[in-house]
Amino acid sequence: MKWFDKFFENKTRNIARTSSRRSFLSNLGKAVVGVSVIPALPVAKAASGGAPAGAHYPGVSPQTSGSDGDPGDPTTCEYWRYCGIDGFLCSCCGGSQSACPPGTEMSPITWIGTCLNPADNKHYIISYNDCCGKAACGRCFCNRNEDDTPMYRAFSNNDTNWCVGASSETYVCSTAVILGTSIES
Amino acid sequence: MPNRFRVRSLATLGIALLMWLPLASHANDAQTKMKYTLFCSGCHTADGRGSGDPRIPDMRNYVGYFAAVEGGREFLIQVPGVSTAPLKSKELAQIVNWMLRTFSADQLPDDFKPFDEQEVERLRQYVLRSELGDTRKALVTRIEEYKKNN
Repeated sequence: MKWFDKFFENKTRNIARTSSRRSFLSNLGKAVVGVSVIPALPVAKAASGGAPAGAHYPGVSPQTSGSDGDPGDPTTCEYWRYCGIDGFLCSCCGGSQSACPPGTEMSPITWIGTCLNPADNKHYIISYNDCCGKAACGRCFCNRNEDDTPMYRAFSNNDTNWCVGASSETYVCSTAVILGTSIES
Repeated sequence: MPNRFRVRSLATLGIALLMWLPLASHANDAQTKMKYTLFCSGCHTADGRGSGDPRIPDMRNYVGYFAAVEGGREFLIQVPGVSTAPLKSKELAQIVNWMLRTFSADQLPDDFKPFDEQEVERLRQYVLRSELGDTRKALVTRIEEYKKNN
């Protein structure tokens, strides 16, 4: 076993000769901090797939509006018109961003907000009409809540079930219909 | 003749202002309509027909009657949707005037005076809450009488 002792003695002496205790501590510190910081970087987030931009609900294929003035994919939560939405996207449920799935009824009353269209940098008035009357769609849940107000301001709160105005109060999914452009005052 | 020159330039300015006025009021209407869309139309719908729910009644060819009966003018501002709206009194006055003109011009009394900022500011201090339904019922009765006599 002499060779074994010799081997480790040499290795240990080699390490002791070529490195200092301080450099060991500083390297250990770098490793501890580095490992904890890497998952917080945006690059790491995109790679890990936790709510990344442009994510697709399984089984739903990408869509476009077909117009350069209306950019983005209406089956993803990042689509510009969804800035105040809270619910299942009708685009993933057999409807579209402005139409209800067949067999459902669009609620006549709704909540209304504005979203910035990145194509022309203008604010558009968006009506988040709910579709009602069948079982809840369950696909592509999206809750962005920009400009959402607390429940006591019911007319600009998106947690309200707006199907109260339709003949059936069962909520299916939400649309985002453009009503016009917002004029600066 | 500096004096005459000044008179003439003032007149020119006046004519220019007159030509500009209709344009300005048109722009205001578009603004007002946009605010109605943003703050009211979610429930009252774009054309004022409401949702079919009795709590959101049809305003078309009706809401103007409120301005014709006693207590109706106050009611138009004190309904919670108007008085508690997150808008300045000046904007509210413009929106209510626009709604009356747009949805129910024929029902407005001949001597109808549009709301102004001060009147709205004063009236909206009081918000109809639990007595809302009874107040409205009484006004509708008054409107029915008014219709018979006019």
